[in-house]
Amino acid sequence: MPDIPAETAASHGPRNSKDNKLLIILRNYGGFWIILPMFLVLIFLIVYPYFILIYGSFTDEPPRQLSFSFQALTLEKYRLIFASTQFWVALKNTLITSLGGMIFALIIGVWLAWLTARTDIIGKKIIGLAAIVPLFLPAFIGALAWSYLGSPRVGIINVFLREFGLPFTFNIYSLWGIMFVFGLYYTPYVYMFTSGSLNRMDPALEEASAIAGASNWQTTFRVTFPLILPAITSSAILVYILMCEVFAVPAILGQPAKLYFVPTVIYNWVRGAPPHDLNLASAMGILLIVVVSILLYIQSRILRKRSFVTVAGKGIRPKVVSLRWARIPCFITALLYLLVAVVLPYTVLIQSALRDYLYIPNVAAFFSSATMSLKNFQSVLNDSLFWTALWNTISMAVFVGIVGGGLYLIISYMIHKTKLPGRELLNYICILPIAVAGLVKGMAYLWAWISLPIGIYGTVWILILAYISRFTPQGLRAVSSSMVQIHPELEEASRISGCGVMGTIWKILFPLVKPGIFSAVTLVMLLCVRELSTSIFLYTSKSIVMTVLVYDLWESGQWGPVAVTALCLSLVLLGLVTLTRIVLKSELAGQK
Amino acid sequence: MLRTHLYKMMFVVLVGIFAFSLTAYAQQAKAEVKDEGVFIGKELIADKDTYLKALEEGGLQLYTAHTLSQEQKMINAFMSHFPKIKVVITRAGGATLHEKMLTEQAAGVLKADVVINSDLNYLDEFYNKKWLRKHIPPSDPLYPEKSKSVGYYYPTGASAIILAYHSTLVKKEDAPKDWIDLGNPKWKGKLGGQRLGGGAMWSMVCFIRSQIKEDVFKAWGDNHPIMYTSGGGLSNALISGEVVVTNIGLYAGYPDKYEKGAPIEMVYPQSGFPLYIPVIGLMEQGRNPNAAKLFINWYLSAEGQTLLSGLRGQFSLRDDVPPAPHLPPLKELNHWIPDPKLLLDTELRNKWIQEANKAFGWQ
Amino acid sequence: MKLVIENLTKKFGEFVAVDNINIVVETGKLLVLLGPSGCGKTTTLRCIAGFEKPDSGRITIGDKVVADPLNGINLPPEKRGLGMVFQSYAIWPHLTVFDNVAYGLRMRKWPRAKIKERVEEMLELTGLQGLGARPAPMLSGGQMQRVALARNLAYNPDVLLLDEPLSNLDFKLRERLRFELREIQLRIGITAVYVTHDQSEAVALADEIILMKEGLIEQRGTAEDIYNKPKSAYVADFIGSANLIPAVVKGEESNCYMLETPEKLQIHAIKSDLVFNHGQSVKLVMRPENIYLSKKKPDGWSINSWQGDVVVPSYLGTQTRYVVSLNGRRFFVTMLGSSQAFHAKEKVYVNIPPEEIQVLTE
Repeated sequence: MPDIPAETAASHGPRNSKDNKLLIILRNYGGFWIILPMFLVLIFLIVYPYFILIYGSFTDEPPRQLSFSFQALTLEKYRLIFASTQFWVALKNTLITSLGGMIFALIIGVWLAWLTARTDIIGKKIIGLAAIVPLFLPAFIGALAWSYLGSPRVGIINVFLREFGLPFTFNIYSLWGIMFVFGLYYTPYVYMFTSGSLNRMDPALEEASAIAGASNWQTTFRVTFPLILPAITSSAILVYILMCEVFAVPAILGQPAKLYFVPTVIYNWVRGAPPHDLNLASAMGILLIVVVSILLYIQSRILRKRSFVTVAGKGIRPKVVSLRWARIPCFITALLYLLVAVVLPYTVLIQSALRDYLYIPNVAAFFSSATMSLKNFQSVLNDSLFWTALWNTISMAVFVGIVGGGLYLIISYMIHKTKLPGRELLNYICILPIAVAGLVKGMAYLWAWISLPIGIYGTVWILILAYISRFTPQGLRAVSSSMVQIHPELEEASRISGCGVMGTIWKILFPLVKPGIFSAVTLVMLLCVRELSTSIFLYTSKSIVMTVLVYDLWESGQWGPVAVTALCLSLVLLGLVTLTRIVLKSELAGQK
Repeated sequence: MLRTHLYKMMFVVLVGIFAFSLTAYAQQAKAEVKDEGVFIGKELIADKDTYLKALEEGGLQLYTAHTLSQEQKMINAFMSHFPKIKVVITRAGGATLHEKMLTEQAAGVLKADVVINSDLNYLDEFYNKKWLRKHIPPSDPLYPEKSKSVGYYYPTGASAIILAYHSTLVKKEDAPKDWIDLGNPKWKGKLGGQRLGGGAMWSMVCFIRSQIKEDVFKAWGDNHPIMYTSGGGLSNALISGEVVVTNIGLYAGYPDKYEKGAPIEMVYPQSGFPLYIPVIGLMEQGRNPNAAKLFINWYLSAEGQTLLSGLRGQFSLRDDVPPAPHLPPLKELNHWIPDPKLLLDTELRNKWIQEANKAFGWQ
Repeated sequence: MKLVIENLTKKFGEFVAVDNINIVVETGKLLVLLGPSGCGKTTTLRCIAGFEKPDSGRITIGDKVVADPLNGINLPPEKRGLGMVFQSYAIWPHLTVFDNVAYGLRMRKWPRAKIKERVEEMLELTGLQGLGARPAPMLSGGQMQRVALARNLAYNPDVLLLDEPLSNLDFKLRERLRFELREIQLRIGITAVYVTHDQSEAVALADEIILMKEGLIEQRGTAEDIYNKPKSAYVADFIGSANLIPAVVKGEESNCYMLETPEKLQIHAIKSDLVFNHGQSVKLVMRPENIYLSKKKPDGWSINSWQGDVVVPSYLGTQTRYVVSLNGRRFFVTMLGSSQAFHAKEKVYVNIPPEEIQVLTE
């Protein structure tokens, strides 16, 4: 199988294949001083909190005081975990449902990506949107909505099924139910990775297959899929990890069926009956990290061998499969996904927002306006906390998106476009946060930063730092995927023409990387707005964010206001994304 | 259709805000400052010295486990009397709040002036660590002995943990009348329950194990109840019909029934029911001791208690304060105020909770 | 500008990519660095460009020392005043053709009007007139390469570097562009260094060829020199096609060596400057076009004449290329002319004049 097209760097003799960009430095080890500040930043943001977490797992008392003593180290917590049946059951459940969810997400994600990137299907824009829209619904709100849709006795879907005399019942409170919800809401990740890879692939590779006599389908299976396999595998591993770590969905949907999952067990140890055991929780978190790290390692081995350089100044026009009669049915499958992942939950949310209380015994009640009123809206909009949360959420998301995005850009440049010493390590540090479950991260940040003399605790700044730290893997990856595609010779040509390093970055690299930067910024903003498990540790009433507000309302059983706030949250997300798109479009247009 | 709804909504909101602000003022008698101190109505809230110092301090930090919106309303009411004292809330669930406070203290940044937590254990821990500031509010004599530790912590109010059923799906004749009815096989698969983690549920377990002869938990567990993590979630499940009979804390069920008109009915069990009592105390580390005193005094005053009762659907442990609207007076009900010695017995707690969990099918 | 490279060495860790080489390119001359992958030619070019920092040596362009690491000099690429055409063309996709070509001029702060003038000039020179407004991605490969050339020449670099610029183009285009490149280079009189692994390209373009092997210069000279007087089997093999036959020196006469191949073929080969001992193992180089075939045994054939079989004939239109077997040893033989003289399995007489055979070491 052809590996990389001829015009890439690899055919240039003994040049070290990882070093594509030479940063001219006057002193032999000057690079060290350039990369050192970045290391310090990342150590503060990432290494230090996680180190405390690890330390906490080996001690008896939560490390609140930040004093380290070797005598305090004990393996007791780990022993307790391994001895508890709860743990093994939880681990089994987590690993299995994540696997099922991953497979489900892969099927839908790859299918939709292939449809939009490689066929002549109608409504590509709609499908592309449909594949991404589920990101606008934070996972736990999705889970809540689905519990109203799929609970075996009174779930709205089941109400309809009964009404129409259909014999089956949909039970969302089960391993299958959780896999289903996982699959629905993690599809966007798979879609983004896969369609990105499909769009950037060299069409010559598929054309070569066609020449060799392969039909469209044969080409798809023998050439296209193997080539996008790194993207697929990479996204599969990512969503698997995310599913293992997420708390809200298994908590809401597993609880009624008495199903344990690793994050819910951790949660119980963190917030359960006193004496709750945070050290136990962090030990469990560490174990999860170990499992996840193995997966990440596998992923890096898969990705290592590939060169992703494709933007070498050549236009890319991918080959398209003609679907003919299948166009409409395929489009319908995409619509179906949209229906199930987005329309249904939002219908529930809107219903809940408009009803004083949610009791739907039959289909008629679903459509009746008897219990409808605007009370929930009133109560939410009257609440000063709502407005504080709204402001905090938006302003923090924008700030983190821009500042974080800038940071990730610099890091990505250092890792992929320079020969600075230690950049591999930098890359590795930046991936660490993925391995740590959100809940546990919140604890880590709290322990790590609370006693800092600069008094960020209790303010929005600690949240901002936590977000920047937490989303480094995703943000960095988004920027890097654009960064690595820019052929180093584009920059070298600029240097030869008389343009210095900085000028080249500004005139050549930056414009070409812009789409990647924007997608990174958008992604990070999205993630910030949706974030719950870390915020819940670090917020105060002044720095409250919308997800925390929703959670708080849910805990006190105010489902109506929950729905209203959740809808507002989605609007905020939509607003931010649209805004970014508009900005990006105008940037690109201005460039021409 | 949505558009008209939208306009309607905006109009209603504006009117609502306006009206609300008016009514807020209208409902409350204003605080009056006299020589002897600050009064609301006839009740003394604080002596003049404390009051003036509180104004100087200008603010206080409240750490609470109450629902955020409920607490916010309390604060709004407080600040309508004392606008110069800015109250900042930090809210978290009981265990999280406690952990947060411990962490902050260890880091030297604990700023709490007043703490309200749902689990007596937490404040007791503070008491033992000498973190509670001693203060006896004027209303102290009005609170029963069992519910307080004089000068250190006081009950903010009592929420009843009782039974409830869905009024459309269950006929009144069939409704449960006592705790043991939870074991009636006709409820199998339709029964609710709540995870036994926090203070409220511990009060319930404590009550059932110490006061009721029958093995309620076994009976209950045999019916395979669907378990929810919070009282709110449980209440919602009841309303939606996912469960038709369950235990319920009034702090969750009350707003649903009486403010939203949900189809649920409360049952005060014949054998009695426990009161779940979040407690309030002052923190030694707080930098606004006088504002804090003013606040706690107000919180425990007739006005404060009446407001809180109405918000949380609960009873005040002061005899002279009426319960939340629609609730019968506490005197008339077979209620049980938990014995602090029982509540604070950690070993017993672990044992009973574990046994109950087992009955429910949790390992 | 004259380009002088002295004692250039570049290592990557333990691996020595370029080993103490010396090169001089006179003004206006085109030097080709030739060799297989890994021989160091690209590294040398990148050292000249400033993308690699040499470990030792000195690079001088005109009278300016651009690199002298042991004396702390290593000018960044943008300060060296060079031009470089890349294998991937490296045309900036987000800019138009005009902007691509004007890039270097804008760097040098030329006034607007002059830039416009110059760009038009360059586009004409490279046959791209009228394409200024076109966005870069919408060009064919050949057009892209011309844009690459245009943008480099626009600002009159002192030296033009070319890194296998034609290897991505189709054959005819490659031939054509090769001529155009050379023509432009000669016309402008710019010093150029051209890296390639394609010996026919090297031969067509170069004023001088430097053939590299494992970081060292194997041989340098004009195309003719290298072609006709290869100093080693490696060189002979690389340039043109050659038959490389192992043999052992059996004896010598006044002007010839006598050698024997493993197949017991007795060969006479002319002596050159190189001296060989009896019994030494050597390689014999015979160009296919210097081997003669005939159907009958002609008179006058005595030494270096054998009878053999035609194994495979390849008719190439202008010539026919045969694989001929002598005692089992296969030889490539080329005969000009548009008609094919011999067919497979035919018996044929083979003669190789001694003066056409070179004796070389391995």
